[in-house]
Amino acid sequence: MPKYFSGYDPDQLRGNTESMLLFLIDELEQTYGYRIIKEIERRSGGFFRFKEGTVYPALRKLENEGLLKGEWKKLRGGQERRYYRVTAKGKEVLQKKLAMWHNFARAMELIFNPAAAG
Amino acid sequence: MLAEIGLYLEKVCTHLHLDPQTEKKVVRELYTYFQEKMADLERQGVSGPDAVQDAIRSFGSPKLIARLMYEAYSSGSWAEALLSAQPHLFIAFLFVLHLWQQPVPLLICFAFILLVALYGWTRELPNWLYSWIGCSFIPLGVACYLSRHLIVKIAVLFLQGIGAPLPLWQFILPAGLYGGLFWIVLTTILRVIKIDWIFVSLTLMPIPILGFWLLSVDRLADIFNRSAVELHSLDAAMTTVLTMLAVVSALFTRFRPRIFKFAVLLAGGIFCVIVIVYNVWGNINFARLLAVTAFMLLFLLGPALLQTRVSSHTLGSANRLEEWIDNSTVTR
Repeated sequence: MPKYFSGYDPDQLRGNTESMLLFLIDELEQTYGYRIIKEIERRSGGFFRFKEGTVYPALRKLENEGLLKGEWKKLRGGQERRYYRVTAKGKEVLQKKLAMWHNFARAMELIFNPAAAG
Repeated sequence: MLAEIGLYLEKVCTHLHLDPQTEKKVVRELYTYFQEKMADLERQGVSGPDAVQDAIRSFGSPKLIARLMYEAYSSGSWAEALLSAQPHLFIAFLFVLHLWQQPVPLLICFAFILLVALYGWTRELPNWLYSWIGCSFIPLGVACYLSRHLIVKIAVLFLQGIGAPLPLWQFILPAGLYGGLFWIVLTTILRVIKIDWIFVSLTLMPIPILGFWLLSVDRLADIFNRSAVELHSLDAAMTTVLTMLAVVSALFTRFRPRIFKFAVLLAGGIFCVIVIVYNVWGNINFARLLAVTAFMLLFLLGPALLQTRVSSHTLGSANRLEEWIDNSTVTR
């Protein structure tokens, strides 16, 4: 995701995009691109700003890697949506990434706030 | 409003460089964003041209989206990379075992390559297929080269009236070979270039390299009359070259960014030609290196110049958007 917003390093967001998408889709069980975009905006309180179209290539990459499975569904009124769900492999990867994130965040917190270690 | 979104999506497709089926899938999904976003904006009281501009601005520049989509779709798996390398390795096998003059191994090898190429041609041109297509041209190309003396004979007969009358087959054979090669190569280029010119470069890569080899073998030893030792003196070099082509194809399939794909083609192509030239002349000076580099650069960039002429994209039509978005069927 490109550098459009100050307040965080876009590389940090880029490095955690996969985890974020897998987590949200897993929580929502089955969802579609625009819903994911709105959910990121809502949960982050608008903190993360990115070009919304960049979510779709990210979803495609996850699908290529077998972490997501997408299928088209037709809605009433003729509109279509591509719904995604996390595969078993995706859930495994998500668990590993969440564990890594928590360990990383804890270690950084210990560095920034050594008193917390006591 | 549909026309503006259609124009935007058309711009995305201009930079997408994917096959038409995949392009259609991409556009279908991206269009759903605009449907949702416009509905959302209308609920917020924004409608009409303002809503469209808002939606397009939020979505991102067409070039950026196209580049990211291309990278998402264009990287092949390791299995596809290995598949892409196979035809070069099969031919390398012929050289390492000095079998390239034996009709049976030659027939088996190229019949298999041709069958795979034809099979893929009737499907959706998977990424790994292009090297197979390029290698399938080789037998016809070599046959054309070997029949070049007939062309000279025919030309001398017609232009100067010198020489005995030729049997009919000596007219039909070169016409069939050269005409067939031209038609096959042209058809392939026209189909592949509509997807991406860089795939044309990959497809045609073996041609100058095998061409250099053929000219070198011809220079070193007349193919039909000299000893096996002289004819096979370049086999080790060709094995190296074909192995390098296999590596180039595999890396091309795996790399996502187009600039990396082109870089690997150029570096691989220059390396291969230098190996052959070095083995024939015994040295490679700066002038020859420059000539080889310039030749490969022009050869590999040639399709890029052609693409602008045969591009299937025309800007700005709601009709094209309706063509992409077929709501009567739900396909994966």
